[in-house]
Amino acid sequence: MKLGIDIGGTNTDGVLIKNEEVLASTKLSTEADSLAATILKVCRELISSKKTNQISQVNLSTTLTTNQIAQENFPPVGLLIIPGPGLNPDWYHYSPATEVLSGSIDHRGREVAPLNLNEVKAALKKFTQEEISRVAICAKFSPRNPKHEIKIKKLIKDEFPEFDLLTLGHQLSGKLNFPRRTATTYLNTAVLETQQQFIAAIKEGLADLGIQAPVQVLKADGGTMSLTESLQAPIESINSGPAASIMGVLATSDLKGTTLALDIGGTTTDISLFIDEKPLFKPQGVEINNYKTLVRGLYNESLACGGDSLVQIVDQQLQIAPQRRGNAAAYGGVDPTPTDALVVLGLDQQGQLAAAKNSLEPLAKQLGLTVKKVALKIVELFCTKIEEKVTEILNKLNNQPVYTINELLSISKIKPNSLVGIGGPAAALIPTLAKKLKLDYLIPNYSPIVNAIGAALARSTKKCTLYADTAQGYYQLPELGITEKIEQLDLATAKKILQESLAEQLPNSKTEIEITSAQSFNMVRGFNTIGQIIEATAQIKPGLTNKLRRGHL
Amino acid sequence: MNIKAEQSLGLIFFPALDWSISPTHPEREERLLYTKDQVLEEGVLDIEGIKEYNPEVASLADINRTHVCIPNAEEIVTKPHLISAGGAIKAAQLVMEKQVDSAFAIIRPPGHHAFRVVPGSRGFCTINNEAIMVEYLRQKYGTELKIAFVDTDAHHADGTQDIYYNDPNVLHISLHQDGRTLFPGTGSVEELGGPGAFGYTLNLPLPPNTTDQGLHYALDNLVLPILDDFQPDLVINAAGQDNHYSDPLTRMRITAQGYAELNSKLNPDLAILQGGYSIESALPYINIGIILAMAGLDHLNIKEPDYQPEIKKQDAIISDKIKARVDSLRTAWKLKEESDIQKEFQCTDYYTTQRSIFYDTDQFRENQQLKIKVCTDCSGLIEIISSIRPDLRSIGQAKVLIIPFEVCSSCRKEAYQKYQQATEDPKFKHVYLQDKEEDQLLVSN
Ligand SMILES: [Zn+2]
Ligand SMILES: [Zn+2]
Repeated sequence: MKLGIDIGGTNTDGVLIKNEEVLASTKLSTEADSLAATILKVCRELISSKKTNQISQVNLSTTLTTNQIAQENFPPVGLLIIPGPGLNPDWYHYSPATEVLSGSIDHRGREVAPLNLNEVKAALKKFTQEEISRVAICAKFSPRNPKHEIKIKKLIKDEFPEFDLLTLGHQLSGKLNFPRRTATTYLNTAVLETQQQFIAAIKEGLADLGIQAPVQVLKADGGTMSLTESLQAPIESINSGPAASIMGVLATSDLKGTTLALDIGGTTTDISLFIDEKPLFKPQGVEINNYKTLVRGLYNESLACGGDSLVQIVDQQLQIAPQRRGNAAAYGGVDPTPTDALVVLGLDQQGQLAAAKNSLEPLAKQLGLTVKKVALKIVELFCTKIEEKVTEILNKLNNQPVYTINELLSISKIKPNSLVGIGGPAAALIPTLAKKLKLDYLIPNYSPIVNAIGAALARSTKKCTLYADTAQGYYQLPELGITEKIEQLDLATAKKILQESLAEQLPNSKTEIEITSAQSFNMVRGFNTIGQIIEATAQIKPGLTNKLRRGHL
Repeated sequence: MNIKAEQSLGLIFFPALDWSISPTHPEREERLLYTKDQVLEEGVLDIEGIKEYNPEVASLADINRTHVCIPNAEEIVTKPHLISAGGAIKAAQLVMEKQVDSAFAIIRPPGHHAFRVVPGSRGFCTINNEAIMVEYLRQKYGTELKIAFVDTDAHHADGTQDIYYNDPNVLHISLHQDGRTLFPGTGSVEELGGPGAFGYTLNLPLPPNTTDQGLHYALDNLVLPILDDFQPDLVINAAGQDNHYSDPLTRMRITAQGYAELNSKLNPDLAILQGGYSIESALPYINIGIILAMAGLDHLNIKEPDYQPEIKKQDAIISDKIKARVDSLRTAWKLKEESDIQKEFQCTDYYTTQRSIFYDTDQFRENQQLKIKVCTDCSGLIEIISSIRPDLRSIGQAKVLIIPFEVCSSCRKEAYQKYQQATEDPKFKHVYLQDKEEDQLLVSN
C-alpha cells in the first residue's frame, strides 16, 4: 500500500492506494504553522483500520520550502561568490551578507586566478561576527571545475566547524548559469534548517504511528527524492504542489498525443502540457518569488482566474479576476463568480440556483441583459481568457531558442489535440472550453484528490551532466561529484558512462535512463585536432510506479 | 536579483553547433561553442529586456533581391547560409517592428566578403547577410530608408562595399587592418564610392598593432561626426571580432573592452557578427561585452583571462598615421558634393573599370568588367560582365544589369533594352537583370 499526501495552502489531501485502487482518501485543513502535524493527522485517518506494516511507501508533497521562500522568511546566510570577470558581481548579492572573493575559472574549467585563502578566512570571520552559521558557496563555471568551491568547503571543515550548514553550487546543477546557480545555492542554504526540523518531526511521528516504510519527498520535476537527498537539496521540493497535480493527471487519465491539462481552482487556473504521456519540462529552471533558479521543474503556468474569481463590470465590460471575495454565491458567498454562471446555466447542478441568479442580477441590469445571457457571457469570457493564455504559452514554447541547424529545421511545433481538466469547476467548464479550443476532452474520475494520487504514485527521478575535455585529459559529472582522468573518449562511451553513473544512484530503479542531449566537438588548434569536448545530459524521467484503474466522467 | 536592460535588446544567437565549412576550417562547429558557454553561464539571457529569438530561414527571393548568383542561387546557397541570412533579417524585423530597441545577430557564416555577383565563396562568406537584410528592409519598409554601415571587422568589407558602392542612401564605413598587410588587400582611403554615390564609401585602413586607442580615435573623430552629419535611419555594426589582440589571423590589438565601448558609443540599431577566430580567448568576452553595451548595461568588469592594461598602449607612429587618414577622410566627406564627377572618374557617359576578384574558398578568379552610367537623374544603371578562371563548371560568361532604387526612366529603359540584346548575344551564357524597384530578377540562360 502506498500513502500519498499533498499539502496545499488551504487543504491537505491524502490517499491510500493499493495496486490500482484508491482504498481511502481524506481532506483536512492545513495547519500552516505545523505541516508535520497535519501530515501525521492525515496518516492517522487513512490508516485507521489498516495494518501499518502493509504500507510500503510514503510520498509527501509539501509547500514547506515554497512557503518559506514566498515569505522570504530566511535565517541569515553568508553567501560567498567567486564571479571572476564578467557581469557586474554586485548584481548577485542575493544575501544581505554577500562576500565577493577573488579567483576565477574559465569556460573550459581552467583556473585563471587562484583562490585567496586569507580572503576566504576574513569573509568567514566576518560572518561569524555577524552570528551567521550557514554558508552558500558559488563560483562561476564551477560545474566545469569545482576546485574553488571544494577548497572552501575543506577550509570550513578544518578551521571553521561552526558553519554547520553549507551548500556548494556545482552540486545542485550541472547547467551553466551562474546567477541562477548562485540564487539556487543561496535559497537551498536558507531552507536547510527548516527542512531538517520538518524531516525530524515526520520521522518521529511516523515511528509513533508504527509506519516504517521509506519516505520520499516530491520534487518540482514530478519525481521523488529520498529524505537524505531532501536534506542536501531541499530546494528541489519547491513547486511540488503543481507537480503532484500533473502526475495525478497522468495517473488517472488515458492521455494520447499532445494534451493540454488545466487545473481549475478557486482563484487560479494552472496550465500544463503532456506530449505522448510525458509531462513537459520548463525550458529554464523554476522561478519562485522573483528568484530565477536552476531547479528543474515541470511546465506549469498559472492564470489568475478561477471558479471563485470576482466578476464585475469595469468600463461597461465584464471582467473576471484578479480579486477573489470568498466563495461563489451559489456556495454561500456574496459576490458573483464564474461558478455562479455555471450554476445559472445548469452546468453545475450542486450550487444553489437562486443565490447564483441573485448574484448575477445586478450585472444583468447594468448591461441590460437577461441573467442567462450574462451567465453565458461570463463563461465565454472565462474560456477566452484561458484560450489567450494557452496561445501565449504555445507561442513561447514553440519558439524556444535552438543552437543547431538540425534542430532549427526539425522543430516540431507543439499543438495539443486533447484537453484534460481537473479541479472544482472542471466538469462544468471543460466541455464548453474544449468546444471553443476544438479539442477532445476528458475529466478524470478522481479529480478532487488527483494531486495526492500523483504524489503517491510518483517515482524517483535523477538528472546528471557529463562534460569531457580530452585535450585537458578529464571528464566530470558535477552533480555526482565525479571527476576522472581520460585520454580519449568518444560520444558513445560518454553516454555509457553517464548512464552507468546515473544507474548507480538509484540501484533499485528499473526505469530506463534517457540521454537528453549529447554532442561532441573536435577541438582544432592550427590544423590539428587536439581533442574532443563532449557535453551530454541524462535523466531518469518522471513517471509512475503504476497507474490507477480507469474510469472517466 | 532582477537586472533590467536600459535598452531592450533582441538577440539572435545561433551558433550552428552542427555545421562547418570543413572539419579544420576556422568556420567549424567549435567556433561559437565557448561563446555559447559564456553567454549561458553569465546568465545574460535572464536579464529583463534581453530576449532571444531563433533565426528565420531566408528565402531564395531574399537572396536574388540582393545578389546575382551564377549560375543560380539554388546551386550556390545552402541551408546554413539561408539561416545565417535569415538571422540578420529576423534581427532587422524586431527593430523595425519596435519589438526591441536594437538587435544583435550572432550568426555564422559571416557575409561581408560576398559581392553582388556571387559565382562562389570567398573569405568564409558566400552571401552577404547584412546586405540581404538591408535590401529586405528597403523593400518592406521603404526604399528611402537611409542606412549606415560601420564595419569593424579586421578585414576590409569588400563585399558590402561592392554592393553599395554606387548607392547614395547607404553610407558604408569600413575600419580594418591596412589592406597592404591582410586579405583581401582592398579598402584604401582612395576608394570613395562610384559616380552615383561618391563620398558614401569610406575606408580607414588601420596600421597593424592598432589598439583600442586608435580605434576609438577613429570612432570619435571620424565615424561619429560623419554619422551625425548623414543622419541615417538605421546604423548597422558589422561586428567582426578579428581585430582582437589574440586573433590568429590578424595583427590588431583590440580588447573586449574596446569592442564593448565601441558599441556603447556607436549605439547601433543592429549588430551582425562577422569574422573572429580567437574562439576561446576572445569571442566569449567580446560577445558578452557587445551584448551588455547594446543593452546599456555596465560592461566594465568584462576582461579576457590574459588581459593586461599595457595592451592598450599604442605606438606614436601608428597614432600619427591614423590621424592623417582620418583627416583626409573628413575632408573627402566634406567636399563630396562639390566634386566634379566627370573629372573625378575621367569619363563623360559611362564609368568603366576592370577588376579581378579572388575566390579563396573555391580557388578561382573572377574577372569583372564594370560599367556604371553617369546619370544626372539617378545613381545610374550598372552593367557587369563576369567570367571565372579556371572555369571548371563551364559556367561561361555572364552579363548582369542592375536597376538601382529610384532609377530614372531613361536608365530603366536602357537596362531592359540591353538585357534583350544580351540574351540574343551568343557571347553570354547567362544574362541577368536585377530590378530593385520591381523587386525581381530576370534570368536568361
Ligand atoms: Zn574578418
Ligand atoms: Zn538614370
